[in-house]
Amino acid sequence: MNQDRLRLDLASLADEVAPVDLRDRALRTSRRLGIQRVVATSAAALVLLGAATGTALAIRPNGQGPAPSPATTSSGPPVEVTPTPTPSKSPSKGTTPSKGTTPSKGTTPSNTGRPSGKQTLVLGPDGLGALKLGMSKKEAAATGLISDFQRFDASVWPGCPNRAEMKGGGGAVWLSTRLGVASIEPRAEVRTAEGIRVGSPRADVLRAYPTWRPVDGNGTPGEDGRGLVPVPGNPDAKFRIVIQNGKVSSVGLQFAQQDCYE
Amino acid sequence: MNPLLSEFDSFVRTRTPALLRSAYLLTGDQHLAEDLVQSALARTHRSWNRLHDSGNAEAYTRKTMYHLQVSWWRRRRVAESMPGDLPEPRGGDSTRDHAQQTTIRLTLRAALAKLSAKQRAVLVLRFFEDRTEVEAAEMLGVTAGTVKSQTSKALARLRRVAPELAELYVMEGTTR
Repeated sequence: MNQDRLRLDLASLADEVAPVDLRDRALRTSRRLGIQRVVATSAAALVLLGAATGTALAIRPNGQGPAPSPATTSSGPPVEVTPTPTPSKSPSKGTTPSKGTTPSKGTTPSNTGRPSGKQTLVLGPDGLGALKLGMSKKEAAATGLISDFQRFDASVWPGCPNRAEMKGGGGAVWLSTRLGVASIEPRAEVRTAEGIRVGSPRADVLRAYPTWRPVDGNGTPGEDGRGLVPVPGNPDAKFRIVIQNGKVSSVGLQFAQQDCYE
Repeated sequence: MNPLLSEFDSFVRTRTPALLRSAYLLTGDQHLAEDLVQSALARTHRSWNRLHDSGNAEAYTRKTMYHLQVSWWRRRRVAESMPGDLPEPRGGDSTRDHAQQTTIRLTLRAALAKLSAKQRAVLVLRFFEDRTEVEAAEMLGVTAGTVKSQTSKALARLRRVAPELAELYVMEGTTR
């Protein structure tokens, strides 16, 4: 097939479309997307709540006598529930649940949540080094890790008028009026407590954060895009992990509910 | 006075015509094209704070557009067959007069409608937007190899569903 001819004919076909102004429609859709996001998040919270309640109810008839204490993981002796649904403890181990419940997390060799002497800082669960999510402008500035906050036009995201560059390796910090520091996205050499950093392959991300899915596209884990995953140890935060060409291109820590972007 | 908003506005105003042209080739329909561009622009707007200083807002919008189109198509799975009476193509003329050009357009439009969303997307990227295989792959979030194979599948299918078109192309190609 003559591809030049095809080029011309495609161009000529494209001429059929009538140009229209889509600005207002785009803005309306954008607002609707924002609302959907909030609704979806609250729905998810409800589902979680429901699941928790359901679990409690399911356990109840087993334990004969006294009310089962729902909060603690090491429940009464007679109960023989194997699958502990608590998400935080989770991974690997494989062994049958030992009774002892030693609080040692053990297993992961990587870290203890604190910068391990090396160059690479640990991002999360609540910040990067001295810089924490939720800090005020003053507190954030006092850490010396960021340059001055720049006024950022707030017409699109009115709640989030300030943004600062990180010193050193670069990156951005967003400051929300309501939340304080709402997002920390260093460009420098950092890793999450689970060992994910810029350059990590997709497989590592999915191993560390099995729920990672790109929010745009078809939402399959094999696609590129940005995805938000829970931060172990901080229910209020999410990691924003962008994968491009199968590798992590940026990792940020942000409040799960923030008003700075997306 | 509202630097960001007006930046977004001017982005929309300057880029919409080109986006619509691609979207029209992807969807084959004015209204579907508008919907597609509108949705992609809305998502761009959601991310505008992040995008505006990265300088590749348009790449983001286009990427979103292609992703949306492929996933919408998957969800709806409607065959957008082009209804109506498409005139029989009259081959043989060496001059492509106006009527013939119209015929070719209609035929091409109907033929495109018979391709999958992915096949259409690669054709538009490769032959309308003139992207390399690597660029097209980046846009669609697939490998260059996939783009290559989808392209040849798409061309083969075009030839099959619109042999008259293929003949025309080949004929003109050889006389050239």
